[in-house]
Amino acid sequence: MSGPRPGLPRWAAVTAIAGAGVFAAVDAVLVHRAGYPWYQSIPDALVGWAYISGGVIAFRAAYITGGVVAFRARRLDRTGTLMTAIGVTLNLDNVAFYVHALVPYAAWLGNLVDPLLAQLLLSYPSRALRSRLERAVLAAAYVQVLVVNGVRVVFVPPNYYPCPCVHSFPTVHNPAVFHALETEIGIAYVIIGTAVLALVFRRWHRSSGRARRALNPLWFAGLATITALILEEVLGFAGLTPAQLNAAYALVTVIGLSVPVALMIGLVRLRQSRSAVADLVVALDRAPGPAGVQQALAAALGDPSLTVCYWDPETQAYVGADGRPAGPDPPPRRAATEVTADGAPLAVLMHDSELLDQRPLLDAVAAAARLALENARLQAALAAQLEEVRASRARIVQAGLEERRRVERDLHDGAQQRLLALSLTIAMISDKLAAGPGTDPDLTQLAGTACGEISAAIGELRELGRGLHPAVLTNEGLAAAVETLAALAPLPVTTRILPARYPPAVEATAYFVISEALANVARHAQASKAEITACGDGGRLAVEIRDDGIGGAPARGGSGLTGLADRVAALGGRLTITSPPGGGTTIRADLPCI
Amino acid sequence: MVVRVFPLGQSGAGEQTGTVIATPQARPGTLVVVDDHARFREAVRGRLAAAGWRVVGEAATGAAAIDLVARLTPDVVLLDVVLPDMDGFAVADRLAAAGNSSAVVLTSGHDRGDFAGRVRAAPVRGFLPKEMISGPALAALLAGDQP
Repeated sequence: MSGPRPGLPRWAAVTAIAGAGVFAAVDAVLVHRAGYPWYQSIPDALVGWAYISGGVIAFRAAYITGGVVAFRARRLDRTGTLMTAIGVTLNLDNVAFYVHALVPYAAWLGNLVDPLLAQLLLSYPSRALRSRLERAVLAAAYVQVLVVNGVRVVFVPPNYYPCPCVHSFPTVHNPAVFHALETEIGIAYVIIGTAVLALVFRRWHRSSGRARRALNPLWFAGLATITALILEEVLGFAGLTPAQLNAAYALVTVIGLSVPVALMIGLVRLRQSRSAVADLVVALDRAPGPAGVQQALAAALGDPSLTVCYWDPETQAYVGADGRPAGPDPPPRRAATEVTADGAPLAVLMHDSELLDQRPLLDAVAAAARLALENARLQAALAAQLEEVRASRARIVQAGLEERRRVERDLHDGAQQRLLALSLTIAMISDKLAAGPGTDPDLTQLAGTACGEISAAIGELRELGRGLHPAVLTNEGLAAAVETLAALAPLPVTTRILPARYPPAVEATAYFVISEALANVARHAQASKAEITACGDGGRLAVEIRDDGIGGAPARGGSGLTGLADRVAALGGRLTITSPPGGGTTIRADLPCI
Repeated sequence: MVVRVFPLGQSGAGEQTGTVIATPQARPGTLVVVDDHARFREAVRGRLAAAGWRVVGEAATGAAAIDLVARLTPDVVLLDVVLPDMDGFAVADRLAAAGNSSAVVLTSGHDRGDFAGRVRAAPVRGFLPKEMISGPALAALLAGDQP
C-alpha cells in the first residue's frame, strides 16, 4: 500500500476487535459442539481472534504514525494485512468444523496460515524481504500451499472427510495421487519450514543491539511457533492416536498465540518511540540554541554521546556548535546521519552506530528537528562570526598597545639618548667656559641657556613617552604606576592596590582608565579627594576610581570615557560609570585577564 | 675621616648641589661606565674626567660589566638600568653577590619614579638621572645626599 489513505477510526477498530471476540466465543462453542474438546476449540478461536486484533491494531498504528514516517505506516499496513489474513484463514479453518460445505476449501486453504506467518516474520522488522533466498523460500511455500495442496484436494479419496459434506469443490477421487501428493507436501513442509526457521534465525543473529532488544519477543515467538509447526508435521508421520494428535495440535496452537501477542507488544513500543519524537518537538521548542538542540536529540534517540555538526556554506565544511571545524567522518563504532534541507546539506548527527538499526526513528527524529537544526546552524554561524569579530577587536587593541610600547622604547633608546649625551656635552662646554678666564660672559650665558633648553626637551620627551606607555608600568606594575599618577594629581588621591602583576594589555588598559578618570576628576568633578582601588582574583582585575565631586558625568558621549569603554570592551571587559548629580562619580572597569 | 668642604658654586656653574661633605669615596677616584650607547659613554667620560674622575673602563652590556668590574674593582660603577642583555638591577645583584666592593650608582634616561621601589631595594648607592650626571652630583650622591 502506498500514498495517503483514510485512517481506521477508533470506533471502527474497537468494533472490529469486539466483533472478532464475539465471533471467537461463538466459534469456540460451535467447534466444541461439533465434537472437538475444549482444549482445542478455545485456543483455535483465541488465536484467530488475536491475529485479527493484532491486524486491526497495526492498521490503527499505521494511521497514527502515518503523518510522521510514511514508509513505516506502509510497513504497518502490510503487517496489519498479513495478520488479518492469518486470522481470517484460521477462522475459515474453524468454521469448516461446523459449516461442512466449507470443509474442502478449509482443507485447501487452511495451511495458507503457514506461508503468511513466514512472510510476516521475514518482513516485519525491516522494509521488505531482503534476500533472493528469502523470496524463493516464501514463493515455494505459497506454491506448495495454494497449487500442490489444491491439486491434492481435487484427488481426495471417497469418504475422506469426516462428514457427509455437500460441496462445490471440483473433485476427482484418486487416492493414489492424493496420498503421493500428501507425502510430498509433508516432506516439503518440513524442508521449507526448516528453511524459514533458519532464515528467521539468521535475521535475529544479524540484528544487533537496540533492534535485537526491541524485537526479541517477536523473534522468540516466531522461532518457537515455526519449530512447533514443524514438529507437529513430523508427528503426523509418527502414527499417534487421534487424541494424542489433537492434544499436540492444541499445544502448537497455544504456542502460536505468542506471535500476535509479541507483535502487539512491539506495536505498543512503537507508540512509545513515536512519543519520543513528540517529546523531541516539545524539547526543541523549550531548549533552543545549538547546545539545546544537541541535548534534545541525544535524549530523543537515547544516545548521550550524540553530537551535531553543522554545514557551513561559507567554508563548505562541517563545523561544531562552537564554530570550530569538525569532520563528518565518523570514528569506529560511530555513525553519521546526514540531515538535508531542500537537497542541501544542513547538519550531520554523529551517533552510536547501533542507532542505525533504528533507521525509522532516526529519520523521524531528524525530520522533526530539521527546523531547529536550521536555526541552530544559523546561530552557530553567527556565534562563529561574533567570536571572530571579538577576537580581531582584542587583537587590534593589543596590537595598538604593543605599538605604543614600541614607539616609547624607540623614543627612549633613540632621540632621548642622543639628547642626553648632547646635554652632558653642552654642560661640559658650559663648565669649561665658566672655569676659563677671560671668557665672554654672553657665551657662558648662552651655553647655560642651551643646557636648560635641552633639559626641557628631555623632560618633554619623557612626558611624551610616559603618555604613550609609562615605563614604570612595564618595570614595576600597576600599583607603582598608579602611585606615580596619584602623586602628580592636583588633589589628594588615596590608592589601595595590591602589588600584583597582570597581563600587559590588562595593566595598560587599567592604567589608561585610571589616568583618564583622574584627568576628568581634575577637570570637571570639582572634587576634594579621590580614591583608587584595584583588586584582582587571578581571572579578573577590577579597578575603581571614586571621587566626591559634583557627579553628573555622561555615561556615554564624546568624552574620553567612550574611547575607554571601547578599549575595555575590546578586551572582553566592562566599564561602568555611576555619576548621580551631587553624588560624586564612580568609574569601574572589570577586565578579564586573558 | 677627612672632611673637606666645597664652597657653594665652586664646582661649576648652574649646579644645584649645595654644601657637600665628602667621604673618602666622594673624592674623585676610579670609575667604570656601563651603557650601551657609545656616544653617551663618551659624553660621561668627558664630563666626569673634567671633574677629576678617572674612567678606567667602559662596558656596553651587563655581562661585560660584571666581568670588567670584577677585574678592576673601581671606586664607582655608573650603571645604566636599561641594557641589552639584562637590566641594571640584575647586574647590581650579581656584583653584590660576588662580594664586589665598588659603589654602584644606577642611571637612566627614565626618571627615578619609573623604577619606584626597586632602586631602594637594590644593593646600590643611589640613582642619578642621565641628564644630571656631573662630578658634584656624583660626589653628593656618594656622600649620601640623594638629589
